[in-house]
Amino acid sequence: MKILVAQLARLGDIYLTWPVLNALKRQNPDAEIHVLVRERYADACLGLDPSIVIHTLESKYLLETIYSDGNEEQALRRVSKFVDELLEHRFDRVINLSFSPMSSFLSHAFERMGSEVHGYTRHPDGFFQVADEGSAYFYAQVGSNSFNRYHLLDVFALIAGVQLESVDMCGPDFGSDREIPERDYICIHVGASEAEKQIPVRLIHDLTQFLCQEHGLRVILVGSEEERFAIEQAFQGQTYGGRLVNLVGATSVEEAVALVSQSCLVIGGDSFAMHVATLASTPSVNLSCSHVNFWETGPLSISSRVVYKERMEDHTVEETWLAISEILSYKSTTQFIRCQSERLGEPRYYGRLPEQDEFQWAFISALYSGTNFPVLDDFSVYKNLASLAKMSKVACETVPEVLDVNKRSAAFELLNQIDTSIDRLADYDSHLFPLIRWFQTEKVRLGPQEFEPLAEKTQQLYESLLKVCSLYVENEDIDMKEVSP
Amino acid sequence: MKSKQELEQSLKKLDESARKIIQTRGYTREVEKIKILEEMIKEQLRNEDSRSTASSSR
Repeated sequence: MKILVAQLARLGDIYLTWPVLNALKRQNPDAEIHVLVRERYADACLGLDPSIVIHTLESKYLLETIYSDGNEEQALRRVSKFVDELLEHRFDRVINLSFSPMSSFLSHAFERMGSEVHGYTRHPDGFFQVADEGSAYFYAQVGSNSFNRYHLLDVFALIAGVQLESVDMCGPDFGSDREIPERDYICIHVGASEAEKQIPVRLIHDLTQFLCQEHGLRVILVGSEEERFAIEQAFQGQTYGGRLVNLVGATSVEEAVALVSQSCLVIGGDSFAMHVATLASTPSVNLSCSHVNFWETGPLSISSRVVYKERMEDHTVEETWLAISEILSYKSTTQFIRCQSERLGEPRYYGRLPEQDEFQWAFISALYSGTNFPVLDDFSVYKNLASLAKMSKVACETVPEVLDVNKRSAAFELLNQIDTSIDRLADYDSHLFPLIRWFQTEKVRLGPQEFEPLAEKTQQLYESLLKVCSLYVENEDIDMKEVSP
Repeated sequence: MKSKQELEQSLKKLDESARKIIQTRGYTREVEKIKILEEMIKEQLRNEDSRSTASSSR
């Protein structure tokens, strides 16, 4: 068997994919495992099991002629060659953990050749499709503005069809060849993929100074070339008697990974360093904020802490130090968010969780895991659910009319208006977001088919939506004549 | 180095090519490759944040 895992997202996502690759290898010892990553992030594959075949997407080369002289034809020839060479491998399974439009078209290219595809793909008519329940969950519920509490690691494993075990949670081992003092320094990763997620330079400076001068600790800073100037400006060559080593912009990915792995503790925002630390079982202090869903991408090494603030600017040296000192002194309090790494497949964090969105999470659990639906005690939400129920009921009554050629046009117009109103309701009331996202995703999954079965399945979807709403809304409120968009 | 506007022009041309093929021959392998290239260009316009539009994929 030949299996391809497509991970065309960023550095951190590739490290999050390592356990899945390890599990695939373990569960399919005779299979040939391949992985596809972007060339720019290929260093994140260094240290993988040597039997895993690595393919790279060379965006720069493929798009070169577009950038240089607008030669789309030449670029298309290069893309075709790249795709055809991959197709020649005739993979039995393709697991797309990239969740992007581009990767969905690539997945479908494999599907045409007979590969079993997991993840984002396309319907035969080119429209977007989610191939499996795990991907449907991702599409509907995962993202920084979502209410999802499953870690991405677990969602990846679900999509890949593997059961993760602790033996899979290992990453690159560069320590033995490196002249790095083991476990006697704190590593601070200063970067992040987006500005809102970056630890403020002021905090990095003040925290580093505090750790070095007040507590005599050794600190190594790592980060990319983009962060180098700001960090150099902040520290002006200061080393605090040799306790600070500034390696921002001065290491390869491999070296940064080694430094993170070998540290006694890692401090970082939502970045690849957290995932490397997880794989190396290095405790982390993750400085998180409302722009990030820490449930999805937080650290998973036991004894790690998540310090959550509304904005990254709200983080303080004092509170960060409290989290650090808890880890270093093996103390355990409920002051911070902590990881329970044993709880594979369940929400990973407990402790001082931010007050947020319990209703929405409980709703997600009910929709996907069969737990009880949450109690509703907010009348404004009830009214919005009643609106949703009414719209669903009207839709249920309208769908059969699309089969009547005389009523079809009016029926489509009304159904489009209803769908637009339902979409708006999700933006208007976040309590309804999980339910409406589930509904929208199931509609996407219907795909091209004969008119009558499509109408029947569409009606069943609206009926399911109505059924859930009816758990909360009294019948007389659904039966009222007016429908408010 | 092409500007954003020029990249968008390339996108338009590719989209038009794909559209013409779909109209005459349906969603073929050739269309698929055009779409892959289109999406790669769009990713560059978004600074290679490949996942940002995943949930609005169509």
